[in-house]
Amino acid sequence: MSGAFTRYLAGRVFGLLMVILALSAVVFFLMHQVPGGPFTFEKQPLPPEQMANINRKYGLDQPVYVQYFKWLWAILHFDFGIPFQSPSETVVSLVQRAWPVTIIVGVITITISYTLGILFGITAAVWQNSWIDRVVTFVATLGLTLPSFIIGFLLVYFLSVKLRWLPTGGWGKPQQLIMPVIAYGLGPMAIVARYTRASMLEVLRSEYVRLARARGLPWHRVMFRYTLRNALVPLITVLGPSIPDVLTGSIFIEGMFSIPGLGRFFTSSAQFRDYPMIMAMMLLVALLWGATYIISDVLYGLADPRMRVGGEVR
Amino acid sequence: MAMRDSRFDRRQAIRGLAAGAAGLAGLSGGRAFASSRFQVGSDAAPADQQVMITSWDGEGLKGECMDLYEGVYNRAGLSDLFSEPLTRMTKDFGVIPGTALGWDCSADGKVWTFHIDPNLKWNDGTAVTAADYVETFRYSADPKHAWDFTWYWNGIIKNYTEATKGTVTLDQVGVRVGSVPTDFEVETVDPVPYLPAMMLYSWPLNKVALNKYGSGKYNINVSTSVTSGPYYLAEWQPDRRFVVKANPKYTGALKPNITTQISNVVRGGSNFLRYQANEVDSTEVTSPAEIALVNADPELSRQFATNPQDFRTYYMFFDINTKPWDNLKLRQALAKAVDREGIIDAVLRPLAIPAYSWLAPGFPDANQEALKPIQAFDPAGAKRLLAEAGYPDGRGFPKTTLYIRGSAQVDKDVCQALTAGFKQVLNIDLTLENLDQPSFMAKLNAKPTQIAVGWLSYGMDYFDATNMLGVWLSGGRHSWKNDEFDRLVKQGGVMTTEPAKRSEMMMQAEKILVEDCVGIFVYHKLAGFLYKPYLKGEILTPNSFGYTGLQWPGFGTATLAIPQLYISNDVSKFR
Amino acid sequence: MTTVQLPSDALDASQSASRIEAADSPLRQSIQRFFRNRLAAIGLVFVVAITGGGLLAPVLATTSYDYAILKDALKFPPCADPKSSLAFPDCMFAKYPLGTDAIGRDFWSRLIYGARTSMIVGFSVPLITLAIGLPLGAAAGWFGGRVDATVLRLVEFMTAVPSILLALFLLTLFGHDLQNVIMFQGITGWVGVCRLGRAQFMTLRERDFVTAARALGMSEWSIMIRHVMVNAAGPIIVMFTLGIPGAIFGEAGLSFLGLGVNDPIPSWGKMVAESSRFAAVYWYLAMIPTGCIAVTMLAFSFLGDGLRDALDPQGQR
Repeated sequence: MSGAFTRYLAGRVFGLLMVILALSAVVFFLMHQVPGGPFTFEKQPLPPEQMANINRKYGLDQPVYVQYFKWLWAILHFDFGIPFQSPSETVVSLVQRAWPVTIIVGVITITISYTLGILFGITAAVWQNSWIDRVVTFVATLGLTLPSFIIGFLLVYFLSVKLRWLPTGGWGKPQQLIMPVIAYGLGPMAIVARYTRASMLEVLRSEYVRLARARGLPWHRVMFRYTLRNALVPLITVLGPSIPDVLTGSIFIEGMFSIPGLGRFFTSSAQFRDYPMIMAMMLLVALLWGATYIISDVLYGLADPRMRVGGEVR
Repeated sequence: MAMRDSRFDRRQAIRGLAAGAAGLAGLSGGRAFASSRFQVGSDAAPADQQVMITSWDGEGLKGECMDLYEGVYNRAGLSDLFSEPLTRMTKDFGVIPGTALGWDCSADGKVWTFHIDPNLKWNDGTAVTAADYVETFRYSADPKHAWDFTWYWNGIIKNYTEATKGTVTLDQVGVRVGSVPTDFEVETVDPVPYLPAMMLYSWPLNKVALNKYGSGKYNINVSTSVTSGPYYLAEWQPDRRFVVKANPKYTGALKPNITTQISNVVRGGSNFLRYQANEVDSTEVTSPAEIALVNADPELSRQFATNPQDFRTYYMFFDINTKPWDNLKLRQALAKAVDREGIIDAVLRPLAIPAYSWLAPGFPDANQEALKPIQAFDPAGAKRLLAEAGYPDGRGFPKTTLYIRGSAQVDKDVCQALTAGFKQVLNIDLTLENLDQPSFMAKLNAKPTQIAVGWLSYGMDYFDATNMLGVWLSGGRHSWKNDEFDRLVKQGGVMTTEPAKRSEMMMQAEKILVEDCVGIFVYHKLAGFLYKPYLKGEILTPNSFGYTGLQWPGFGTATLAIPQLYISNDVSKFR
Repeated sequence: MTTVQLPSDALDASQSASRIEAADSPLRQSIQRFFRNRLAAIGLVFVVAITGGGLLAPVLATTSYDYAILKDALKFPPCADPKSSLAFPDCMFAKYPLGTDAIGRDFWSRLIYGARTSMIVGFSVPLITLAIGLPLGAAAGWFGGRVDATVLRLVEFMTAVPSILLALFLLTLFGHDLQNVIMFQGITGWVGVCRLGRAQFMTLRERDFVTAARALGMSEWSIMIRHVMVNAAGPIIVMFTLGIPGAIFGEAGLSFLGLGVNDPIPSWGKMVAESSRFAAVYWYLAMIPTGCIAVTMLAFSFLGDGLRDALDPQGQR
C-alpha cells in the first residue's frame, strides 16, 4: 500500500472518530435533557433524600458534563458501564450475548432473501412478461407494501395459533428462525428482485450483449460472462449500505418473535433511560456505519482507478 | 360488543363486598391457625407433568434480583419464592398468619411482636429466625443500598425515615429480636393498626448470606442461593428463562403441588398469541383488542377469570393551581360529563367497574354507593355547570391537553372515549398526549407540577384506606391540598380503639376528595386472566365476592395458592 | 427504521422511448412517454384519488374523526357481516359502511381523515428532506473542497445517529404533534437526498454545457439555477415521489412504537399498527388500512418509476 493510501485511511479514521466524539456529546446531553430518569417510579414520589440515595448509587448525582467526561474516560479504558436494564452483567457482556443473536438472524435473512431476490430477478428478466415475471412482481410488491409487523402477525396467527406448526417465537431451535426470517426478509428480497430485474434488462439490451449474441456466442456464455457480471455489480452499491441496518437488528421483528437480540434495546434503552446502554448503542451504530463508509469508499477506490489517489475519494 | 355474559352478578358482588372486608387486621392475630391441609383432586397429573410455564416481560429496568427487599421494581420473574412473609392473604382478602403463627400488640399500639414458626429452616439447615427479618429490614433502610420502596415504611417503623437519610444508624431502626429468637418485634412511630396487613411485604433475606455477599443478589446465582420457601432456584438466565423447583427441604405450610415453574423471558410480542398457541399456561388480558377477542370466543370466555388484584382506580386529575382548573364548577362539569357505563361497555367490559369515588368496592372503608351521586353522569347538569363556570356551550374554553402516562392502548382508547364524550356533552376540545412513564412522572412530580390535566391510575399496596387515600395527602402525588382531608386521614390512620369512628373518618375524607372533583374517577380495574383448563385448585374458584382466578398478591408465598394449585391430567391434550 | 426506496423497473422505458418523435419539445416528449406507460398512468390516477380524498375529507366523511357513539363499538361493515339484513348494494349505504372501531367511531370517516394525515405526512416529509438535503448536496457537489468535506462530515454524523433513538428523544422532549412527527422524519431523512444532489451536481459541473455557459460569462449562480437545476430535477422529482410512501411507512413504524401522531387524529399507519391485534376477529380494522397503505405504496412507486423513465434523457438511447 502506498503512503498516500495510508495517509488517506488515517485521515478518514480520524475524521470518523471526531464525528463520533461530537455525536457522543450531543447524544449524552440530549438524553439527560429528556425528562425523567431511570429511577422515576410509578408510585408516589420518593422523598428527596431517598431519591438522592439512588442517584448517588448510580453516579447520577453529578452535573451532566462531569458524568460525560467520566463516561468518556471510562470508554477509553473499555469500560462501558452496567446497563440499568440488565444490571447483573456489563454492557459489554450484554452486547456480547445479544449481538450474535441479531447477527445470526440478520446474516441468515440477508443470505436467503438476497439469493432468492437475485434468482427471482434474473428469472423475471430473462423470461420477461411471462407468468414467472408476473408472479415475481406480485411477491415483490407484497413484500414492499406490507409492514413487517403485519406480516409477522399474520405468520404467528396462522402458523402458530391456527396450525400449531411453529412456536410463536423464542430462540435456540432452528424452527424458531423460520417466521422471523420470512417477516424480516420479504422486504429486502422484494427490493433485490426488482433491482436485479431492472439491472438485468438494461444489460441484456446493451450493445455489447447484443453484439456478443450476434457473434453467435452460446447463450449460457453470454449470460454468465457478459450479462450477470455486469448486471450484479451495481447491486453492490445498493445492498452495501443496508448491511449495518440489518446487523443492528429490527425492533419489530425481535419484539414480535421474542428474539433476545440487540434490536429491542434501541427503543427500550431510550424509554427506560438506560444511559449506559443508550451510549453503547450509539457507539455501536456509529462505528458500524463509519466502517461501512470507509470500507465501501476504499473498495470503490480499488475498483475504479480514477479515484485511486488519496485526496477526494467519493 | 357481542357478549353481555356477566360472569357474576355485579350488584350482588358489590353488596357482598361492602358487607365483608371489615376488620381485616385484628390487633392480635389467630394463633389458632393450623397449617392447613389442602385436597388435591384425583385428576392431578403425575409429578413430572406438574410444570407450570408462564412468560415474564423482561422489558425495562428489571431482572436484577429475586427478592423484594433487594429491589421492588427490578425483580425478575418467579421472585419472592425463597422465603415467606409474616402474614398472608386469603382469597377473600383476609389477613392470616404466614411465617408468624400469631402476633401481639402492646397497649399503646406501638410495639408489635410476631411469633415466627420455630420449625422453619433454610435449606442449608439453619433455622429461620427473627434475626433474618431484622437484618432484612435494616438492610432496606441502608442509604447505600438505596432501596426503591422505602416510602412503604417511611413514617411507619420507628427511625426508618431517619435511617434512610443517614441521620441515625441502622441498628436504631425499630426492628429487633424479641425475648426468644423467633420473636420479631417492630416498633412503630404511631399506632399502626394495619401493620399485619403491611407485613404481606416481609419476605426476609438470609442474614448470613446477606452479610456474606453484601446484598440480596446471592439469590440470583444457583450456587449461592438460599431458600426457606417452597421453591429453590434451579436456573437464572435473564435473557432466556428462570426456573424454580420444589424445595425438598421445605418445612413450611405451603407444600407445592407444582414441582417446577418455568418463566420464559420475553421482550415484546403478544402473550395472548403465546397463550393461544399453548406455550404458556396463563396470561393476563390487557388490551381492548384482546378483551374483544375473548368476548367473541366462547372457549376463551370459559377460561377467563376476573378479579380486582390491587384495587386499581383509573382517574383523570387536575392541578388546581393551574387556571382554569381552580374553578370547582368547571371540574364538576367535566366529572358529570363522563359516561362511565358507556365507556366500560364499549372498551373494557368485563374488566372494569364504573368508579364514582376513589376506593374500589371491597376495599376497606369503601363507600361507593353513597358517593356515587356526586360525580354521576348527568349531561344536562354538566352543561349547566359549565355555563356557570363561565364557558356556556364550551365557548371560551382554553386549549387543553390531557396527558396520558405510557401508551397502552387501553389508556388511549378510554381517553379518546372520554374526550369524545366531553366534546358531545360539553362541546369542549381536549387534545391527548402520551408521555412515557419517566417523563410523565418527572413532570407530575415537578414543583410546581407541569401536568395540569392528566390520566393516571393507582393501586394499593396494603389493605387499609390510608394507603389509597395517602396518595392525595398534601405533599403526595398531587398538588391538591385540603387541611381537613389531611387531618382526617392522619388522625384516623393512627386510631386503634374505635374502628367504627376510624371508618367514619376515612369515609368523610374520601367524600371531601370526591366532592372537590380534583379527580374524575372513571373506573376500578378488574384484572382479566386466562387459565388453561388443566390449571385447577380451590384457589381459582370464586371467592366470597364472586371474583375468580388468583387474587392479589398472586401465585406466591403471600397467598395460599401454592398448596392448592395443581395441574390436571387434561394437560396431555395441550402439551 | 428503514424507509424503502424503490428501484425502477416496473416498466420498460426504452421500448416506448424509441418511438418518440424527434420533433417534440423535451417536456412534451416526457409527458407522452409517461402516459404511454399504463401502470404509471394508473398510479397517477390513484395518487390523485387518494390525495383528493384526503383534501375533501370533511366532505366525504360522514362524521368527524373523533365522533364516537360508544354503544356502537366494534360493528362489522354491513357488507361483510353475515348477520346483517342488508343485501349487497344497500349495505354500502348503511350507517357505518365500513363498520366502527373500538370506541364506536365510524371507520369510513376515520379512514378518510387518516388519508389526509398520511398524505400530509407523505408530502411534507420529502419536502423537508429536500429543503435540507438538496442545498447541502448541491453546495457540496458544486463547490467541492472544504464545503464538500464539511457536508460529508454532516452526512456521516446523521447516518451514525441511530435514528430510532433520536426519534424517541425528540418526540419525548417535544411531544407527538403531527408537525413534530413530520419534522423528526424530515430531520433524520435528508441524507439520501443530499447524497443524490451531491452526485448530480458533481457530474453536471463537468458537463459541456456548463463549461460553455461559463465561457459565455454567466455567473455561477445563474448557471446553477438555470441550467444545472433543470437537469438535476428529474432524479430529484423521482426521489421525492418515492419518498412519499416511505414517509407513510415511517409514520406507521413510529405508531407501532407508540410514537405516532397524537390521538384522536387518525392516520393509516396508526390504524394498521393499533389494530393488528384485532385481526383474528375484527379483521376489517387491520386489513382495510393495510390495503390502503399497500395501494398507496404501489401507486406512488408506479408513478415514480413512470416519472423516472419519462424524465430520464438517457432512457432515449
